[in-house]
Amino acid sequence: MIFNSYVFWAFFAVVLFLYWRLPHRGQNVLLLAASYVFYGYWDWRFVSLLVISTLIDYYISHAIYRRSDRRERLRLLVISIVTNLGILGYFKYAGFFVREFADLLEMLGFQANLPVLNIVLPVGISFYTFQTMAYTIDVYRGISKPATSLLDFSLFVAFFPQLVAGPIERSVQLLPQLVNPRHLRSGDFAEGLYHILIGLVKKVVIADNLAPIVNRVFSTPVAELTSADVLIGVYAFAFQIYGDFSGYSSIAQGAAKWMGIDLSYNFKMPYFSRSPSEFWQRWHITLSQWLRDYLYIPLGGNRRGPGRTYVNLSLTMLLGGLWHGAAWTFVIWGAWHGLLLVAYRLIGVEKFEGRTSAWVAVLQAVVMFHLVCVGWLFFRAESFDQAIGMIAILGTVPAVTDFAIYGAAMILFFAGPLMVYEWFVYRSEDMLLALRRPSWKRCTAYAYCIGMLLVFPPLVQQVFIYFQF
Amino acid sequence: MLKISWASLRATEAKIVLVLLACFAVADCGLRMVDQRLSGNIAHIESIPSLVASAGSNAERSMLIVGNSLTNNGVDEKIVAARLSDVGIAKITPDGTSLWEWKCLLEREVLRRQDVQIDVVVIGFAWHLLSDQARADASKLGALYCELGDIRRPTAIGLASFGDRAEFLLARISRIYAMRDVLRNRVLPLVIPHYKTYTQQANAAGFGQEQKTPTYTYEHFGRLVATLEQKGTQIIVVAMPVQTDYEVDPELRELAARGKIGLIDLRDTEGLDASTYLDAMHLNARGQQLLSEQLAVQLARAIEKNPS
Repeated sequence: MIFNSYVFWAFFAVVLFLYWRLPHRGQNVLLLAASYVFYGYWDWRFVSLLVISTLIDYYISHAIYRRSDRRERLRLLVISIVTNLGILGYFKYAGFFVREFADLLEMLGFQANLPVLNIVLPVGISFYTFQTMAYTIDVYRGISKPATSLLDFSLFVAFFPQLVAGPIERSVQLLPQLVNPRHLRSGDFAEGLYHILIGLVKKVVIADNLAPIVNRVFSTPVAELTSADVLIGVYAFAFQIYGDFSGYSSIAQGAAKWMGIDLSYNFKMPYFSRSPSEFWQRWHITLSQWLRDYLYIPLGGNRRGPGRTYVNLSLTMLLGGLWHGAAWTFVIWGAWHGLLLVAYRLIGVEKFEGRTSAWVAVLQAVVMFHLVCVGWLFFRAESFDQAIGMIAILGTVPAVTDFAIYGAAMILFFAGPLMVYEWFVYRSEDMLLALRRPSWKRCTAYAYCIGMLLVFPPLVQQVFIYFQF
Repeated sequence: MLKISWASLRATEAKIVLVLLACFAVADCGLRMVDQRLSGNIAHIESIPSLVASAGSNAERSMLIVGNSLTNNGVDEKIVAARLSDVGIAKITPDGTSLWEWKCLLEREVLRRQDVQIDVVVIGFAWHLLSDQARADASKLGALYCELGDIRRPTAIGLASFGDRAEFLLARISRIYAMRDVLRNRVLPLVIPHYKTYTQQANAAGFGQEQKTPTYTYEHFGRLVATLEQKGTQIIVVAMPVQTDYEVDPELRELAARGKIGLIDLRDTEGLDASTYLDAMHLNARGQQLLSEQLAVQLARAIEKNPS
């Protein structure tokens, strides 16, 4: 059940209708049942994984909370982490590592007859695994108390708007909202509508209309591409993945808002960032914060000198890349971002984040956007060789083709208006800027969104890219 | 910055939604009034009831030639009419149609209409367009071909999923949504250079993928034939020529062998070659003349065989 499908909106309308007619506990029972139906719609067998993950972390967190012995608490935490990572590792990485091990053995001259593992990846497993792990770690650290009700905790793990593609919520942020009664406050309807409309436009109008351009470029043999084709392909992918993922997060936020629940912002105009550190404060924010709090800081963060800081940054980004998928291209994408973070630090990060003239700021943002695009080449490429081949083509003499002109015009037509709006949001630092404009301006903006959704849906509907992670 | 309190925002936002709905309703009505001018295909679809009526009057026998652009480009109904002098003929060939659109049209215009009697329906097809696996365009079915009541039997009009049914209903309500392809094809070529070229290439790539469907069945077409037969309407299907080879599916051949339908195979019509095509599948004027003459001869024979 995906957000850009009629079946989801029919499902959500029924849930919403019942939701506001039930008392608080009934609302939670309804939301949990709805969340399992939502998840089971893909493959009902994987609901069991969700339940296992929920039960393990619920009981282990309580056991951790009750015990005072530090070693015993640590042992329990390790059990939780190993179980969660074990499930994630089996479904997401086992096939990859078996394949790579077999290749290594063959390279060393051994006959490798290892079984081929065709394991189906449960949708959203990386998201809810990280969310439950963070909860248990927070209980271990004493940052939060364990949930008193299994129902509330189950809902915290499975809450359907953010279950399969985030935002990855912290227990301190989401759990109290589930435990306490909720009310639809003034402004919630408007805010929810705003998030849902803008999210649908990002996904349906921008991402899905640019997908055919991306698919064409990345399925054409590298030798047949020109530098302009590659450039347009990677620009299109930059806006496709942004529209796709931030669109999902925005719809999730809007849907939750209509149920009186606040979800975290996962994107804040990332393509206007002027440095890698700013980019990661604006792109997939909840994952960046997770990696910072549960990986980078425990590794030592920046407390152990510059050399160790660089190592920690690189390692964190490398693992962040691997989180996205079991492929070397994702690892290289992570390594590239690690390299950017280190390089900007070496140069002096404050130069890029401090007050500069408007033109310098624009130049910094343009440079940063293109550095991010280099990363996207690895992220989207089918193989390392393809990515390297495309980068090599980018270095050749520019040859503008009809396809490049077509692609550029498509990007401008579909993504251009959003970027202009986001520029104003970026400047004002007000994520709800449109809601503070006069009624006629809001009306015009909504008319644009609805008109685009009605007239320019994609020729072929696409699933959300981040479901595979 | 204009400050708006959250308390007033809910009421304001509800008003905005209402204003928007009203605006879209007005735009929708406006589009309904001009959509025939936006698209020749829509104008043709709107004229179908009168075309059917004209075929069913002032002649001893009546015939509908039904199909899509293959038949539209391939058959000149005047050439056929010259050969079948006592037969009133109308050609109904909306673009991009297949079994489901033809089924809805024939049920609406031939089965349910009491004012006309159509004796023969000739359907031009290629590949698997008459099979149960033909792609149903829920929007076009909802807005242009089916009646609202048809939604009560969704699988009978090719609507397999919940999404298809919702799309059917939304297209029935909103002309803007139903006409999105037409609007898109009008607007985007104006602002996107080479839009048509690359969209056609993308469509062709998608079309190639659709050909991988494994088994083709003709259950729905068989039912349509049976119901038309009860009203005294004979069905003849014509395998149209295209530049690539395709097979006539065994189940369709079986229907012909059992005498339920007539089958005219024009895939290898003499005289047709690359010079008689506009593109990979559509005939040019010379190809149309050659094919129409051949079709007229074969239709005359088929009707002679079954004069009732």
